[in-house]
Amino acid sequence: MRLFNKNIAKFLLASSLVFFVQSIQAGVAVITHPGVKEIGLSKSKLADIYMGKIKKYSNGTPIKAVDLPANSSERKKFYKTVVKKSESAMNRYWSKLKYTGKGKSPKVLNSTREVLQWVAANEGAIGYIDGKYLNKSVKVVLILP
Amino acid sequence: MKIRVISIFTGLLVLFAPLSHAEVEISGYATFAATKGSAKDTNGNNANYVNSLVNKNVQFDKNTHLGLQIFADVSEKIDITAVIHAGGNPDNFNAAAQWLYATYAFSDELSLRMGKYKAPFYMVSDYEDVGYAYPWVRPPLEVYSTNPIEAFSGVNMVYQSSLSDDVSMLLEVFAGSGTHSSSYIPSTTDAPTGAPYNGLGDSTKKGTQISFETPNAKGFNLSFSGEIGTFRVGYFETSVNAAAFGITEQSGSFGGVGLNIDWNNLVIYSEYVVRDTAAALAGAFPDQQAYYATFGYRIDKFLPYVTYAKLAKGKDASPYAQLQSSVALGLRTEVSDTAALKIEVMKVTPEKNSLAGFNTTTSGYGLYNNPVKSGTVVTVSFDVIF
Repeated sequence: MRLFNKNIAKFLLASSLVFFVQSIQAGVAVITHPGVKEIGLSKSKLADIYMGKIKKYSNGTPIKAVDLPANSSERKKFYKTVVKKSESAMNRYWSKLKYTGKGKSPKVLNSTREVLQWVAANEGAIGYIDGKYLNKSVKVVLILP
Repeated sequence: MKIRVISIFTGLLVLFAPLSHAEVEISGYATFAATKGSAKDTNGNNANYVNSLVNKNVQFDKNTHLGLQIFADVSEKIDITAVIHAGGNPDNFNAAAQWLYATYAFSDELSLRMGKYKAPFYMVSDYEDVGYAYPWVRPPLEVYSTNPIEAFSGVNMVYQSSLSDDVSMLLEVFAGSGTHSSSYIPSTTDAPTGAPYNGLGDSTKKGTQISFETPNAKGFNLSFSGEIGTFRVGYFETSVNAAAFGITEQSGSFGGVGLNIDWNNLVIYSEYVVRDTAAALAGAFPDQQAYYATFGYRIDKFLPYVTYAKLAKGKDASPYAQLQSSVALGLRTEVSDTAALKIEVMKVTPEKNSLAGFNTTTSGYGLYNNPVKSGTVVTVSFDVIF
């Protein structure tokens, strides 16, 4: 009986934690590899990163930015609120640079799961996902509510 | 034995390890276009525009083209880029590598390219074929026809740097050589008296292509980009050989400035270029200057624009200089995030005594006695990136 109560208590604690975590992380979460120690990744810094203007963190580690597919709602939200450019404006921007190798648009991965795995596995990686899929394998740097 | 097998296996692994890390990316662009022109000479016969780029029939092939970029990340510092291009004009859709170069990155800012590349003569040289990247159906021909050089083989040093939070700088210094061909202009015309270039009097050379070499070409392109737009300046010089026309080591230079503003909904493009050549080149490549200005205003998915362009005499006031102006009205519509539909109506007016971009088949009438008064070109194009 005591054991049972303990389990119930654990369960309640865990579920309240889950609830707590979810409630603050609903929205789009900007995530990095856990090894990224960069301080002050503001929206304008993130915009520069996603436009290829900043290529390294301040400690010299190369930044590896990844995108979700073009039709994803998280991508639309990220670009609208952080980069402040429409998808077609971004496409025009990259089409002036990418065919002649003067810039390289972020790598596009197929799903939230792929982004999570990729960001967790690659040093210097940065991405964004729906906050409800967050786990401990990555570091959260910004939540876009 | 076992050890040997293992060591061979390990050796192979080591050998192929870099290859397995090579990341290959393919992306592309395409333009599908239809053009129709209408122009008559004073004899009432139809005239074509820019070597039949446009004529009285609806043509689907002359502006239609496709490019595929293949990018291979060979190692952290080395990558290889190829752009394979196939177009209706002038290659009849034969695919060719328009760009093919290896890049070595010394740092994030500085890299060296070696191979075949399109030189940055103009504002949109880098993406001249990527219709999706700009408002027009094609870059204004008055300016974009003044340098007949398509691509070089050589080296190109690229320095990219941030000057402040908002302003970035790009400096390209390039050197190379190439063999090119250009329409021998004027193509269907009568020679004026006192022609500076004696080849013009030779009827077998009229209307042909002039093949020429540029052995010691060198130049630079410097641009500054910020939130509101880009400003660029460039200069280039070369010596020119054209054996069939008896031209050896004649000098030519080409310079230009350009401005592109894309701020809030306002879109402005403007460029000015100058071509300066030795007297012996005045027949095929007379001195010219040219400019254009485009003003557009983005309204949601629509970008209406107007362009005025002018091709004028250069320093030597050569009688072969092409003289014309044009006004174009266009509308670009974003069909999706990766596709645009454009329609443009352009009125081209050659100046007195110049046939400019036109040619006429009326025999006995040419540049100096039968100019086309004006012509209209309508183009619809569909531009995609993928």
